[in-house]
Amino acid sequence: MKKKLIAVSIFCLIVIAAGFSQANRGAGIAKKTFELLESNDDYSLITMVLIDKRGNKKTRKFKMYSKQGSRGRDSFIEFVEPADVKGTKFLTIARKNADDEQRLYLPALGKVRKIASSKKDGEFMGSDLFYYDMEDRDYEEFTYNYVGEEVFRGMNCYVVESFPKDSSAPYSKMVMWVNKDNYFVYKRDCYDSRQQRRLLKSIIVLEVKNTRGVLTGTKMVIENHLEDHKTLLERDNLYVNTGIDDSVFSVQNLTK
Amino acid sequence: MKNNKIGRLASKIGMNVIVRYKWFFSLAVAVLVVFGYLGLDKLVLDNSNESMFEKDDEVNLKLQQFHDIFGNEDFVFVMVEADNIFTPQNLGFIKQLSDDLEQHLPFAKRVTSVTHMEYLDVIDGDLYVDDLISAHIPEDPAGLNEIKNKLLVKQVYVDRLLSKDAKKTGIFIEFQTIPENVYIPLVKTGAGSQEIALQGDVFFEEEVEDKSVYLNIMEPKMLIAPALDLILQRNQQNGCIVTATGMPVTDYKTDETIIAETGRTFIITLFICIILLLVIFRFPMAVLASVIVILAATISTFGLLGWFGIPLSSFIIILACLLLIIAVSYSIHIINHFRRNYKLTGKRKESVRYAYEHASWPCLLTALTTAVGFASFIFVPMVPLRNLGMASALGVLISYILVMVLIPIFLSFGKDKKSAAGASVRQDTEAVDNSRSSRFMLKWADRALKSSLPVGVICVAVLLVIPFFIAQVEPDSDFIRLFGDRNEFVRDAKHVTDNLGALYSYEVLIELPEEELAQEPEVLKALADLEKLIDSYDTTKRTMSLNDLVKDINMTMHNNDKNYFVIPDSRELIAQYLLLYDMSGGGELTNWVDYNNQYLRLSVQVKRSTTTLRKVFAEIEKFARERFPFNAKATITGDMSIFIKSVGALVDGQIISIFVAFLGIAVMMMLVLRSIPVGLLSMIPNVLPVLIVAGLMGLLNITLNMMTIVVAPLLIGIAVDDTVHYFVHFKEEYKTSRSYFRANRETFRKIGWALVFTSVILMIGFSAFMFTSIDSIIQLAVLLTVGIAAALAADLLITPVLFVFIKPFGKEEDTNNKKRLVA
Repeated sequence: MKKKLIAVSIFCLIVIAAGFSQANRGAGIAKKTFELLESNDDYSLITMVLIDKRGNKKTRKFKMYSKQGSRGRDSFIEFVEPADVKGTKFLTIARKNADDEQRLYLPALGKVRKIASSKKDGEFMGSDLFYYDMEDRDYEEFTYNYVGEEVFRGMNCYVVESFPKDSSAPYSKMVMWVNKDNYFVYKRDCYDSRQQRRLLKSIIVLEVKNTRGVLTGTKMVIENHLEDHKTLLERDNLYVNTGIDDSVFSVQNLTK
Repeated sequence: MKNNKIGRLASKIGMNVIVRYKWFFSLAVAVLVVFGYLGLDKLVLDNSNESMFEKDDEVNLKLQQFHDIFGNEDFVFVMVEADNIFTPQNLGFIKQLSDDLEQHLPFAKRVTSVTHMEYLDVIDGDLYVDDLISAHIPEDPAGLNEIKNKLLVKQVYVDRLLSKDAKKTGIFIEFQTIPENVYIPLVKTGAGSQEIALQGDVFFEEEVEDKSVYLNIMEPKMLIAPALDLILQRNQQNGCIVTATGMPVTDYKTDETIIAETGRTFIITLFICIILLLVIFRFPMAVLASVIVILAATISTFGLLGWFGIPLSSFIIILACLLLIIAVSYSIHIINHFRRNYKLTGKRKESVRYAYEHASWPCLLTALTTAVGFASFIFVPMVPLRNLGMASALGVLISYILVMVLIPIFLSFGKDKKSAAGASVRQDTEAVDNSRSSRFMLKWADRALKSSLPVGVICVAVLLVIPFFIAQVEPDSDFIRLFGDRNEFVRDAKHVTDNLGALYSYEVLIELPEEELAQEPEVLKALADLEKLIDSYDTTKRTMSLNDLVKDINMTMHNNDKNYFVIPDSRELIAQYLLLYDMSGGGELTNWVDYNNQYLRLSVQVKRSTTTLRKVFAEIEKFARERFPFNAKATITGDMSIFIKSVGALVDGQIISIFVAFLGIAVMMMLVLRSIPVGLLSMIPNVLPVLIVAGLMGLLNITLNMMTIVVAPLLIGIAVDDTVHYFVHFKEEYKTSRSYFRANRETFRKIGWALVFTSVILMIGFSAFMFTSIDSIIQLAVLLTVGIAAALAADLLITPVLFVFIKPFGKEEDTNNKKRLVA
């Protein structure tokens, strides 16, 4: 009887230890993805094509400037297309431990409006990306689990699960495919926060550009599996670390 | 002697084939029943609005086009009532309920309630796009009051999400496109059996590996209502009354009620029939045989419908009881002939032969006429009625075959008995014919002929009055009126509809010739004018469109100045507002304008369904044609457009079905009686009950609806049964006696009581419908009962007069009878 008890205890310890080891391994890989070199500032012309389940397309084109500040990453967006929204501008100034400050300029109205919102699961520019997907995240915000290795689009990848600690996060779980060579995340499956096992969307990076060591996804597709909706995102004219002036991220710049 | 020839042929087949190989035929019936039983699983009940017409019908194509553009328009509305909604406890309850619905109600796409909604506001020039109520519900009265006022100040929410008195609020649930089938997990219970886990957790085809632990749901929409019940049960709050409605709820509850009522009505009818058969025959074997026939016919018919993939609607309740009543009616004729001969001869096999010879042919004719009556629905342009027509015709023929196979087999078991203490057959015949019941029928036969004048006067008077009442019959297909408010879910639907939500709606789809035109100010202003027109109708509860958003944003961007609750003049500004709305996570845009800005949707909730909507629809289309720029086209679709089409189809269907049933049965009667005038003559006692019932509908204010439309063709099909029995026997008797008077007496003596019994069984059987909770089925019961009584009265009073006086088979030979008659 005693022997059996010992055997069971050892087995349990092995299982627990294995669990810890999987978690550690996953966390280790994830940490490396967070440690990838990021740009200080960048500019690109973004073409966003939204495709509904009937195959109808809606194209939006905007210039996007972003810069790392002391309190987070600021961004400035100016719409180019479609024609009737040309000149609409959107400024986001990051705030540490608070909601970001957002301001909007509608040229047809000729006025700047401050927008207050604490929503994290809002869609970014009507796309399949949430604002949550666009925000800078910290390594400590998640717990991890190593799943295994897999070949994804010809690349050898680690597969790691991450679980947000924040219960208000729009996802219950994310599964990442991390390229073994450069630790860039090429695919992310995001699971619904409401129905945990349901795959909500997949973010797949189709093209990556290396600019002076900074890896940037320049072509990606976001598939919303529940809505049967898709977003294609392309970043052209990418300029990284060109020293964009702080004045770009100012309220005055909205009305210029 | 054609009838006799057929009778003799039938008796030969019956005795030499069926009775001789009774075990083989019993086994064949058993196989049919088992096959039918296996098909019951495949039987589909569909009461949905879309199932009214064929998939390629214009009304469904329009709805499909609408679904393709704007997705599923189904919704569930949960109304919460309290003396004060805006207390921390009540708002906490609404939040908890909304969360539960959002997380566990199958296919829920978006839940909107006071605790689950975005609010666009402007404070000191800053635009706030945020949840109306943050994660923490305010505790202080000022904070709670502020929330209430924020809602009441915006027209788009008043009487939609919150009543004017702020005592009623709604939780509005929209749904994703519902897949064709899903799986739900089976959970092992303590007893080892498996039951469905209705936790709102559904799995799609690709998510299921081991299908044995899941239940495949072929109608996923039907998961919504039971899951909603569970959620509402586990979320309750003192002082809050919660009521839910919506098409997914009413569709499910309709099916649930119909199935329960069908089971209950079937058992009541079966019980009544067993009692009646016992009283009439005092012959347990015959009753047992009849019950077996009833069950075999019902299982086989429903099973075959399952195998053929013919879906049933609310008519399942009629079909089940009808098969029962018809099987009993045919059984009575067979058993009656058997019993009569068995009493006389004491010879069992001889009596079975006699029953085959005298009952199989008239019963076949009655089965065919009833089947033709039902088959007339095949020409009605409504799918549920068409399916009822096919199903009933099939069921009637199956019932006939099973009666003719099983009843004689049962009756053939047992030994012969000595006829009445060794008396001669002649004495026995006299004994039977001199019984009190036979004497009564003979008296009746004579009296019917004597009272021809008053009967004729009454008939003429009735015929003169009836058209006035018939003219008052209105068509209707309103679900609430059809069901009546004996059922809780109907009362709930009515209660919610009378207050915040609405059960019925129609959609106006504005199609522009090119993309990107939907944001043009002239288009939106025309849409606003159209809304104004629709709002002016009595039937309209409220209208909703893209304009609500545009006007609300415009007002908000101008510091909530109500003067700006208008459509802006600039196309760019409209586009930028909508971009702002889209960017700030507003989820409603795709509800009102399509992706390419080519289609606009104007949703109209109506107070009640009414036929005046037909005129309203025509006016809307005319207004849209004249008012919209760019030659925009307006199409009306949704529940109410199906309703209007159904109402039209009911009227057309009634005319077609009566015409086809009358024509089909009249032609059959002409062929059977081998005479055009006699065939037409035979239809008089069958048309009269239909006219009486139609007049009664007008008198009692009963509408022509999905249930009552069945009455007329069914009545022609059933009422003609007695006439067939009377005519076939009359003709036979006339050929023997060559006297109309004697033929009438003999016919009454032989089958008079069988006619009365079958009619009484039909009347009592159909009156079992009066115990249902569904108004239109109760109306059906009243009309059918009165109709069959009228048909019996016509056969007992009018038919003999017509035959004896008109003399359809030529001059009679027995002149003494003529003298007696005149005397």
